[in-house]
Amino acid sequence: MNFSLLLILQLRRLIGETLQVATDNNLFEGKLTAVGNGIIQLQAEAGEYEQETRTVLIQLSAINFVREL
Amino acid sequence: MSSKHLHHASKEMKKIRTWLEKLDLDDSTLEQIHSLLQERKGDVEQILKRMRGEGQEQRALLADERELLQKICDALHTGTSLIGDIRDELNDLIGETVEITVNFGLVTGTVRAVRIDYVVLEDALGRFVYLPFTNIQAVALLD
Repeated sequence: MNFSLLLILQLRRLIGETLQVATDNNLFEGKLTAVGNGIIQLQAEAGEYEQETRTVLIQLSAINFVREL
Repeated sequence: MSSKHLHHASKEMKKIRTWLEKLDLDDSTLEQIHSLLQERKGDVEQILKRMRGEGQEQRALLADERELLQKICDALHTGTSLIGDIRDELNDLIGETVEITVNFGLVTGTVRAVRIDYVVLEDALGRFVYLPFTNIQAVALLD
Protein backbone atom coordinates (compact mmCIF):
# COMPACT_ATOMS: atom_id res chain seq x y z
CA MET A 1 0.00 0.00 0.00
CA ASN A 2 1.45 3.26 -1.07
CA PHE A 3 0.30 6.30 0.90
CA SER A 4 1.74 9.81 0.71
CA LEU A 5 3.74 11.24 3.60
CA LEU A 6 1.24 14.00 4.30
CA LEU A 7 -2.55 13.87 4.33
CA ILE A 8 -2.82 16.83 1.97
CA LEU A 9 -0.66 15.00 -0.59
CA GLN A 10 -2.66 11.80 -0.21
CA LEU A 11 -5.88 13.76 -0.75
CA ARG A 12 -4.37 15.29 -3.86
CA ARG A 13 -4.02 11.75 -5.21
CA LEU A 14 -7.68 11.09 -4.47
CA ILE A 15 -9.02 13.93 -6.63
CA GLY A 16 -11.94 12.60 -8.68
CA GLU A 17 -12.81 9.92 -6.13
CA THR A 18 -16.01 9.83 -4.12
CA LEU A 19 -15.28 10.41 -0.48
CA GLN A 20 -16.97 10.74 2.85
CA VAL A 21 -15.49 13.58 4.89
CA ALA A 22 -16.35 13.98 8.56
CA THR A 23 -15.87 17.15 10.56
CA ASP A 24 -16.77 17.60 14.25
CA ASN A 25 -20.50 17.60 13.58
CA ASN A 26 -21.02 17.11 9.86
CA LEU A 27 -20.62 14.36 7.34
CA PHE A 28 -20.11 15.30 3.70
CA GLU A 29 -20.24 12.87 0.85
CA GLY A 30 -19.24 13.65 -2.68
CA LYS A 31 -16.61 13.84 -5.33
CA LEU A 32 -13.30 15.45 -4.39
CA THR A 33 -12.78 18.16 -6.99
CA ALA A 34 -9.82 20.17 -5.71
CA VAL A 35 -7.16 20.27 -2.99
CA GLY A 36 -5.72 23.64 -2.04
CA ASN A 37 -3.48 24.97 0.68
CA GLY A 38 -5.00 23.52 3.83
CA ILE A 39 -8.41 23.22 2.21
CA ILE A 40 -10.30 20.68 0.10
CA GLN A 41 -13.25 21.10 -2.25
CA LEU A 42 -16.05 18.59 -2.48
CA GLN A 43 -18.93 18.37 -4.94
CA ALA A 44 -21.41 17.16 -2.37
CA GLU A 45 -24.89 15.84 -2.85
CA ALA A 46 -27.33 18.48 -1.69
CA GLY A 47 -30.28 16.29 -0.81
CA GLU A 48 -31.17 12.68 -0.83
CA TYR A 49 -33.71 12.83 -3.63
CA GLU A 50 -32.37 15.69 -5.68
CA GLN A 51 -29.80 15.46 -8.40
CA GLU A 52 -28.49 18.83 -7.28
CA THR A 53 -24.97 19.12 -5.96
CA ARG A 54 -23.25 21.92 -4.11
CA THR A 55 -19.66 22.87 -3.63
CA VAL A 56 -18.34 22.45 -0.12
CA LEU A 57 -14.98 23.74 1.09
CA ILE A 58 -13.54 21.99 4.10
CA GLN A 59 -10.56 23.08 6.18
CA LEU A 60 -7.99 20.33 6.48
CA SER A 61 -7.63 21.16 10.17
CA ALA A 62 -11.35 20.49 10.70
CA ILE A 63 -11.31 17.02 9.16
CA ASN A 64 -12.00 14.19 11.60
CA PHE A 65 -11.60 11.52 8.96
CA VAL A 66 -11.80 10.87 5.22
CA ARG A 67 -13.25 7.61 3.99
CA GLU A 68 -12.87 6.30 0.47
CA LEU A 69 -16.18 5.09 -0.93
CA MET B 1 42.36 21.43 52.29
CA SER B 2 43.48 24.59 50.52
CA SER B 3 43.94 26.52 53.80
CA LYS B 4 46.31 23.72 54.80
CA HIS B 5 48.17 24.31 51.57
CA LEU B 6 48.34 28.01 52.29
CA HIS B 7 49.67 27.36 55.76
CA HIS B 8 52.26 24.97 54.38
CA ALA B 9 53.34 27.45 51.74
CA SER B 10 53.80 30.27 54.23
CA LYS B 11 55.83 27.97 56.48
CA GLU B 12 58.10 27.17 53.55
CA MET B 13 58.46 30.88 52.89
CA LYS B 14 59.53 31.50 56.46
CA LYS B 15 62.09 28.69 56.25
CA ILE B 16 63.57 30.15 53.07
CA ARG B 17 63.72 33.55 54.70
CA THR B 18 65.67 32.24 57.73
CA TRP B 19 68.08 30.37 55.44
CA LEU B 20 68.69 33.52 53.53
CA GLU B 21 69.32 35.39 56.75
CA LYS B 22 71.91 32.78 57.76
CA LEU B 23 73.78 33.40 54.51
CA ASP B 24 75.96 36.45 54.84
CA LEU B 25 74.31 38.56 52.16
CA ASP B 26 74.24 42.31 52.14
CA ASP B 27 71.08 44.12 53.11
CA SER B 28 70.02 45.25 49.65
CA THR B 29 70.21 41.74 48.17
CA LEU B 30 68.32 40.38 51.14
CA GLU B 31 65.67 43.02 50.69
CA GLN B 32 65.35 42.19 47.01
CA ILE B 33 64.91 38.48 47.72
CA HIS B 34 62.49 39.28 50.50
CA SER B 35 60.30 41.44 48.31
CA LEU B 36 60.47 38.83 45.53
CA LEU B 37 59.21 36.21 47.94
CA GLN B 38 56.46 38.56 49.07
CA GLU B 39 55.37 38.92 45.45
CA ARG B 40 55.56 35.17 44.93
CA LYS B 41 53.50 34.65 48.06
CA GLY B 42 50.67 36.57 46.48
CA ASP B 43 50.96 34.44 43.36
CA VAL B 44 50.93 31.24 45.34
CA GLU B 45 47.85 32.34 47.24
CA GLN B 46 46.10 33.18 44.02
CA ILE B 47 46.98 29.83 42.49
CA LEU B 48 45.72 28.06 45.58
CA LYS B 49 42.52 30.10 45.58
CA ARG B 50 41.94 29.22 41.93
CA MET B 51 42.52 25.56 42.72
CA ARG B 52 40.00 25.77 45.53
CA GLY B 53 37.48 27.41 43.20
CA GLU B 54 37.94 24.69 40.62
CA GLY B 55 37.50 22.07 43.28
CA GLN B 56 34.19 23.60 44.33
CA GLU B 57 33.04 23.75 40.71
CA GLN B 58 33.86 20.11 40.21
CA ARG B 59 32.07 19.19 43.40
CA ALA B 60 28.95 21.06 42.24
CA LEU B 61 29.15 19.29 38.87
CA LEU B 62 29.42 15.91 40.55
CA ALA B 63 26.45 16.74 42.79
CA ASP B 64 24.37 17.59 39.71
CA GLU B 65 25.35 14.34 38.04
CA ARG B 66 24.51 12.39 41.15
CA GLU B 67 21.08 14.03 41.31
CA LEU B 68 20.44 13.15 37.66
CA LEU B 69 21.48 9.54 38.19
CA GLN B 70 19.25 9.36 41.23
CA LYS B 71 16.29 10.53 39.15
CA ILE B 72 17.01 7.91 36.48
CA CYS B 73 17.25 5.22 39.15
CA ASP B 74 13.96 6.35 40.68
CA ALA B 75 12.26 6.25 37.28
CA LEU B 76 13.60 2.74 36.71
CA HIS B 77 12.40 1.59 40.13
CA THR B 78 8.91 3.07 39.87
CA GLY B 79 8.62 1.70 36.32
CA THR B 80 7.38 4.94 34.82
CA SER B 81 7.03 3.85 31.23
CA LEU B 82 8.12 6.29 28.60
CA ILE B 83 5.10 6.45 26.27
CA GLY B 84 5.78 8.04 22.91
CA ASP B 85 3.35 10.25 21.05
CA ILE B 86 0.18 9.02 19.31
CA ARG B 87 2.14 8.47 16.10
CA ASP B 88 4.63 6.13 17.78
CA GLU B 89 1.84 4.24 19.48
CA LEU B 90 -0.13 3.78 16.25
CA ASN B 91 3.05 2.66 14.50
CA ASP B 92 3.26 -0.18 17.02
CA LEU B 93 -0.36 -1.10 16.20
CA ILE B 94 0.06 -1.66 12.46
CA GLY B 95 -1.98 -4.72 11.52
CA GLU B 96 -4.12 -4.50 14.67
CA THR B 97 -7.82 -3.64 14.78
CA VAL B 98 -8.47 -0.41 16.62
CA GLU B 99 -11.32 1.90 17.47
CA ILE B 100 -10.39 5.55 17.09
CA THR B 101 -12.48 8.24 18.72
CA VAL B 102 -12.81 11.59 16.99
CA ASN B 103 -15.26 14.40 17.68
CA PHE B 104 -17.61 13.06 15.00
CA GLY B 105 -17.71 9.60 16.53
CA LEU B 106 -15.98 6.26 16.36
CA VAL B 107 -14.01 4.80 13.49
CA THR B 108 -13.14 1.13 13.57
CA GLY B 109 -10.61 -0.58 11.34
CA THR B 110 -7.25 -2.22 10.93
CA VAL B 111 -4.22 0.06 11.09
CA ARG B 112 -2.63 -0.10 7.65
CA ALA B 113 -0.11 2.77 7.63
CA VAL B 114 1.17 5.64 9.72
CA ARG B 115 2.46 8.71 7.95
CA ILE B 116 3.72 12.13 9.09
CA ASP B 117 0.35 13.67 10.00
CA TYR B 118 -2.23 10.93 9.55
CA VAL B 119 -3.02 7.27 10.06
CA VAL B 120 -4.69 4.96 7.53
CA LEU B 121 -7.27 2.42 8.66
CA GLU B 122 -8.98 -0.20 6.55
CA ASP B 123 -12.59 -0.66 7.61
CA ALA B 124 -14.69 -3.84 7.56
CA LEU B 125 -15.74 -3.18 3.95
CA GLY B 126 -12.14 -2.78 2.80
CA ARG B 127 -12.39 1.00 2.43
CA PHE B 128 -9.48 3.16 3.44
CA VAL B 129 -10.10 5.76 6.12
CA TYR B 130 -7.62 8.58 6.66
CA LEU B 131 -7.46 10.22 10.10
CA PRO B 132 -5.28 13.25 10.84
CA PHE B 133 -3.56 12.96 14.26
CA THR B 134 -4.62 16.45 15.28
CA ASN B 135 -8.25 15.42 15.70
CA ILE B 136 -7.75 12.00 17.26
CA GLN B 137 -9.08 11.87 20.82
CA ALA B 138 -8.55 8.25 21.73
CA VAL B 139 -7.33 4.94 20.35
CA ALA B 140 -8.67 1.67 21.73
CA LEU B 141 -7.15 -1.65 20.83
CA LEU B 142 -9.75 -4.28 19.86
CA ASP B 143 -8.92 -7.94 19.78
